[in-house]
Amino acid sequence: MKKISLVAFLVVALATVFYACSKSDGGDDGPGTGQGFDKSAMLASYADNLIIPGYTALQQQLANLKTASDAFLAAPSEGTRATLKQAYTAAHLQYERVAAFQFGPAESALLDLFVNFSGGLDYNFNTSGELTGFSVDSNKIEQNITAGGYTFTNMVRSSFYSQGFPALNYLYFGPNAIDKLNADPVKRKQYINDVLARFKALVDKVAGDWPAYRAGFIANTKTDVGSPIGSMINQFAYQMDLLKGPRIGWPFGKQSNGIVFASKTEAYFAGISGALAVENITSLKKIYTNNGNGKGMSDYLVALGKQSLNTDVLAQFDLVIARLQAIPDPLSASLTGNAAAVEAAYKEIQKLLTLLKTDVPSATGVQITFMDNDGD
Amino acid sequence: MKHNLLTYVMIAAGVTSFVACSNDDDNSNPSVKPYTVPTTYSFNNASYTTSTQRVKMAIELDAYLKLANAGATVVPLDQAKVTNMWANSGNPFADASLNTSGKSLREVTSDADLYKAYADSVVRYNIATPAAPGVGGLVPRGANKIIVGPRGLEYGQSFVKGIMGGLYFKEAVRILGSVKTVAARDTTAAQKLWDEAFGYLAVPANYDSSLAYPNTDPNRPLLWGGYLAERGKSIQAGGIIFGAFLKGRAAIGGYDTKVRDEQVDIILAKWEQLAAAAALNYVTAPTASSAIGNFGTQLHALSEGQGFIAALKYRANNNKLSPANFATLSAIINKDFYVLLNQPGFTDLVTAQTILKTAYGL
Repeated sequence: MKKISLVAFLVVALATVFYACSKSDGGDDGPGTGQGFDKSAMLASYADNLIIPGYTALQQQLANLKTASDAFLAAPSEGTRATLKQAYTAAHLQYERVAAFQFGPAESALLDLFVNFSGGLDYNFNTSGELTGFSVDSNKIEQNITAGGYTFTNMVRSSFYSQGFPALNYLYFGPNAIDKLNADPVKRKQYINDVLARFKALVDKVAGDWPAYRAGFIANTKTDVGSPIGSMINQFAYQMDLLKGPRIGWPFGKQSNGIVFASKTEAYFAGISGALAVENITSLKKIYTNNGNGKGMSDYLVALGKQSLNTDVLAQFDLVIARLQAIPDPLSASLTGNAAAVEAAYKEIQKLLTLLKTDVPSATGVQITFMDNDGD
Repeated sequence: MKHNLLTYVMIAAGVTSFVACSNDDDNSNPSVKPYTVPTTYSFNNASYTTSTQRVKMAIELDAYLKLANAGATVVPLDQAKVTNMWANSGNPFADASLNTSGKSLREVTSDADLYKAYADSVVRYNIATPAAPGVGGLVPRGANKIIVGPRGLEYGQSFVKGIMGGLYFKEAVRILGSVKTVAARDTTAAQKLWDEAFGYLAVPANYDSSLAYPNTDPNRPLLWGGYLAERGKSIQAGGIIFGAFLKGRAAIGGYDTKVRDEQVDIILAKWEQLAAAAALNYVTAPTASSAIGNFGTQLHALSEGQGFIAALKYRANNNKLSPANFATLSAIINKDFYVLLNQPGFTDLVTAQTILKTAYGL
């Protein structure tokens, strides 16, 4: 009897040891892998249908912008500026279509910072002074024009706010823009052309790097930090944070107890902030579904068994788009003149943000890395 | 008949162990006996109060220094309070049991003067001056702020991450190294040391690496324990280190020095890799476009990175990171942060990333 119980004890003990060992590295596993779904084909389709053509189109729009800009600078007037504004708007709208591809070549070039700086997510409108959100550093721009010898490569806020769309927006459409051009044509035109050349060089670099980058992009089907899928899902969340913050919420006063910062809307002087926001979110949905071609992140979610989450996300996209379309441009005026419409849009943006920043990453096993989540 | 056989076996075993115990030479240790590895750190005689107290002291001092980060305007700090919390003098802690513990942070910290100077510098630069290259002061971070020196170092982070290395990790390396020298039969001494090292990991006895502990949970992992999940998920740091602590502790009771020593190596290798993974994160995050232009975010991250790179100084051996590569890492992270952050292509930080990735398989 004793012998039997001793043996039984040993068996139990060994089993416990074995169990404990196999358990010891548990708890760190990700969710399922969505077997049967061709992630590589999804990524190839993104590269070939949305990303590479998106940057090619941006190159084309910048060429058009340069032509219209040349005509405007040759004879600054309301007439030439009307044509210029069409070209500027087309270029900025095209930028919204590639904004969410801020990884790989675009991230290496820091494209978003140098051409359409949003001010980031960690600068408070209420307490951090003027240079927050989609601002323009007009002091720095004027200083650069006067002093010359400027550089566009410094990685500080004043540098980001004095080139790219913020600078063009101010120099073309800002207060007394035409008078200022006529008063000081040489240096001012030089600055505009330098900003355009810098812009073109950055976009050319990104567009030029993508074909070589593509092979590694479609081959890496992992979902870890820095992977293509991980980066894309991070960008869904990041673009939503920008929409909730610098694009809509913070100018609307959501960070400042209702105090409105109308001039901190995107492309404020051009007065197209609302259209840009609509294009941004419409493009984001198009990216999410890969234009509905069956090879999108939405299809990946379904393959992971997250059908109902996907349905919720799609419905919420449509709701946000509809609410944003209901806000008349210029957004800067609607922030006070049409506050109810902005509030309605903001509410739906928050819901979509939760879906894209919490539920979708969790369903796909992706870690959101763009926020410092220490809590310290 | 069966009983008799068993009796003989037991008597024989008793004789053997008696003989073994009376023998003093190196081959005298008892043979391995079966032992059970529990799933929680619930060993009968487990005690690591001193370690836990030192963790709590750092948590209180860190929280005190962070008071200065609240809001946009200066929140004054008391230098005497900082000194007292460091040395545990004058009943400085809210938790009275710490005041009467007879223990302090200072007494077991390597490079103690350096880390104390970091804590003091928080007080020194807690002034109503906006920080800029060459000028220490305040940097906005969201609706709050951080306090940095003239080269952008956030002293509160270099202090707390610094002592995570110079106190807790360094002590774990020292203590677990000494466990390896304890004879198998001397289980009590080995268990006492083992517990002390485990206490510096600062996780609850029923730690579960799959849980997300809210920061309101009084039972939550602290300091390194918190980083198991925060920066160690992808290397399974939580499951592996906690599991090895359980297994090694049980092995001591079973006189199984081979398994015990293997667990020491597993713990120290993974803990060191965790420091490297955290360092890698913090020298990478400030180079992302979502962080660039936000000095509050960037300087904070680099300052954490500085602390975790400093922790590698106390690593158990050079098996992973060569002395030359450690020197390169240290030289980079001790440069002026404003210079590091304005390098085109972030050449130095990318060099640091490459060293960490290559050395630690990250």
